[in-house]
Amino acid sequence: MYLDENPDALPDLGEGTNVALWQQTAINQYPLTRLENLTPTTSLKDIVGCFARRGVTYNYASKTDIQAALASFGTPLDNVATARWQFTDLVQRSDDAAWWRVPFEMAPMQGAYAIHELVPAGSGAGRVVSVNLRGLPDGARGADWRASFIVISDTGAERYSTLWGSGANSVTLAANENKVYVSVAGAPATFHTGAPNASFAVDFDEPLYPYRSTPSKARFPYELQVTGATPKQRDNCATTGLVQHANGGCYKAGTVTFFPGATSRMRSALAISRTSACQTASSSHCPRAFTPPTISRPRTTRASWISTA
Amino acid sequence: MTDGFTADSPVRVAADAKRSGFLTFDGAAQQVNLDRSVADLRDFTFTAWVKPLGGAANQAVLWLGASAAKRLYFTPDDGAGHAKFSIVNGGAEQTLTAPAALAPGLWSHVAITLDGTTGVLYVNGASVASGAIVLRAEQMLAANTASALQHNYLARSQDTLLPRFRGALDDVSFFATALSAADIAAMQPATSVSNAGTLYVDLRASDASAGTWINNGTIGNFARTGLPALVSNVLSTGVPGVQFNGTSQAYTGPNSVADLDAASDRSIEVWAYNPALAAEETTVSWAYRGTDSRNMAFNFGSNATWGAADVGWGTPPSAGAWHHLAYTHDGATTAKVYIDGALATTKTLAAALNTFATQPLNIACQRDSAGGTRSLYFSGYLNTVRVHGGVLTPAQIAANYSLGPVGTPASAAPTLAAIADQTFDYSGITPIALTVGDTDTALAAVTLHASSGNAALLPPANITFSGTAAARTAMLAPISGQYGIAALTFTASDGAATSARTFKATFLTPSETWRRQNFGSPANTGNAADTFDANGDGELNLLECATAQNPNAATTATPTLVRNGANLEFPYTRSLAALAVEWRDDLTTGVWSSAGVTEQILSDNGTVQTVRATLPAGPGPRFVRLRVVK
Repeated sequence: MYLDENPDALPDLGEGTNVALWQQTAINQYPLTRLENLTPTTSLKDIVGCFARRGVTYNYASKTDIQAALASFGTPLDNVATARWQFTDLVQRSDDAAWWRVPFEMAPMQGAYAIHELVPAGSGAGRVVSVNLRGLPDGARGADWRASFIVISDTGAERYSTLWGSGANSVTLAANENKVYVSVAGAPATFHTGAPNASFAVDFDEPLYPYRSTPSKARFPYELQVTGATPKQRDNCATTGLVQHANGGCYKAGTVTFFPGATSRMRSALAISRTSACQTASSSHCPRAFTPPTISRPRTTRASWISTA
Repeated sequence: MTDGFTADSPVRVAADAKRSGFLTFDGAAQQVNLDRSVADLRDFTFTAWVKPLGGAANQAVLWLGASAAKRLYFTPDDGAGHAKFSIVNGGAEQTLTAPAALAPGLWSHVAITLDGTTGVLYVNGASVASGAIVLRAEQMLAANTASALQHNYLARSQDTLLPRFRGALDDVSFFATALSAADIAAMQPATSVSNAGTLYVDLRASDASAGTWINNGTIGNFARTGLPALVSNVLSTGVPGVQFNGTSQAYTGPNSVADLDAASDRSIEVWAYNPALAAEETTVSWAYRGTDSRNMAFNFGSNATWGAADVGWGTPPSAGAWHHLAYTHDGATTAKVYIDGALATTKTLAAALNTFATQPLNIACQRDSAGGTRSLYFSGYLNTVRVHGGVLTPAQIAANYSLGPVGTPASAAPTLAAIADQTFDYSGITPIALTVGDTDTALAAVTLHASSGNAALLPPANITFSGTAAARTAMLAPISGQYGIAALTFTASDGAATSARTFKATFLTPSETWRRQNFGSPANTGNAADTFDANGDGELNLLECATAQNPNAATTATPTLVRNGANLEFPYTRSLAALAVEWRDDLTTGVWSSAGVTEQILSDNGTVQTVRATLPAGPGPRFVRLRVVK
């Protein structure tokens, strides 16, 4: 849709791009590699950056229809049923609270993106929201990013900032602009094919193309320093009628009791209670981070942070 | 669980004499931020290789927690000479305290296990402290809200609750279970060769001499063909090896035994160095060629075509390097080959092996017929050949690999050039030039740390080192206002061994510094004595020093007294000695007073100040003096 509609009027895109892409992509060729060949003027990095920012409201010709479809789940943009699919909450750094990092499991891969909602401070015209983008360097992989502000007015008018890859950028808000988002796309120097010369199905063969080391699966973490706004933190579900664990975190229905015996059984019950509470609550609100229960981990789950090379 | 993130760029070191690929932390700003999930464990094990490098007590190697009263940490030295684990959740602190601190400069393997009832602290595989620990790691979690921050770190604590860690970390792991003592023991480096079944052949390069290669296995020695020679240091690798020319040199051993013939299970290990790979080069063999599945030959070559009973390397071991190569056959149809402790290929054979029986074992060649012509010689060096009558496990092979080639000399300790006793004039921070060396470890991996015999004057944390080459610098920052002598010990470490130098550092007081600079000696005697007037100008040395004068030059400290309205202004120069401006109106009666005296420091270079004292002018004549307060 983005390629053919070309809503940002990029020089190489427009109607027929998709057709050309389908026709010219060779068997087993990575489509983005072909797209890069089809767009000699506009870099693939900028294309994915521009595409990412359209994901807030799906701002295409059919936006009205898409919004109408989403509205059946709730208020657009604040739709709790779909927000988790659209937006990513940032995690505040415990050692430097001025910075917020993307959760590693949500850090974009090549061509993918994350959108973060920023709640502007104050009201009225002239408010400035600034974001300082700092990516995790990975020179060997050519790590890079393309970020953009998305500003939406109370009337639904949508505007974008320039794209940028690192450092600070800002937007100045009008009085009726109270929704601000920042999109960040993974835009490395090279877009890698996952399974060269093979069916893309093989791309998911973990032993063959390990998640942790295959270039096409590399993630590009980053962190943001936000001023003039606060990154929005969403909850999933209402907790009415639920009882929270003393340490914070999970909730259970007040009627749920734990078998006071084996630890593993207790943990299992806990996991079930969390799931069912989330599924049955009318306004669906669960604790912010839904961490997997310990029982689901292998007995000797091992995660190394420092390799011995 | 997700990755940890480094902050402020801890330095990755390729290798020291003990470990490879680890991170070093400077004790100032470098750290690793860990994910929240590492504390979200009901049962818990933390393991790591830790190399502390001295400094302040109670450095945090590991910290998981929500607050000062809801956290766990491990420190290599609690200041009282103990490594310690501590956990608290708002109540009484629960601790595991080892009998000793971790040795500075050396790698130690640390493990902490918690099962909700008992905690155990292991150092180098041995339980050094255990006791009732009823708290769990998951209780260290902050509330799962947007505003609560979880402080999970390596090499630092929350805020500045504990000093940061100065040293190195490697192979840090968290487990969602309390590992057993056996589990922890299995993590320790092997110290002896693991065997499977009977060890029939155990040839070590250093045992090859006078035509016989002594077999430390059970079936007797090997005799040479041609003149393969022992090389004590193969191509400057520091590893000894028996050199074979690839055309005529070999060793012949006793005949194989039933436990190695036919379909019997077996394992072969070699440490080999092949400068250039030919298609098929034989390290060890028995039986003879010609019939599929009946010859037994373990090759270090690049051949890519294999018979039904053969196993390929996949990617062959590289030429020009020592490799540990292993082969196992399980007595049925599974054969595996390993390169440097890691499984390279597993193959299911069409049928079990059927090795010809009762044929001689050969080193560096095969036989074309029963006891017949030798062929497919090895061109390179063999350090070790072992033949086992059973199947080595992957863990055993990895452990044997970790032992390295036999006869390799132990890592040489780093050197630290002698450090003369030093006397330092008074100043803030003093540098000392040092020289380190190491014959077999990269200099960048040689680290320095310090201990002090006078921590009140110069604590170890106030000694910092810089440099990564042979030339290093130590910066000494004694406690402000403290002077005297400290016996300092600097230790150079390559991770496996250390060497130390002890010297005496004397920090002079300001007046001692003044005497040394002007009289060549800090001693309060002779011409340098406080009560002596070295230049005969009527001002004693004590006053000359206090007013920052040259006691050997004809100068005086007579300042100018200026009336400024209702005040007298009295500018003067002083060293860091204490001076008091006092006045009186009558030299025959009354006392000296400092009432109404104020001072403004006009300049300060760290050792000399110019000062303007202001005092009331008084109704009549007024005398003003400078008094040295010693």
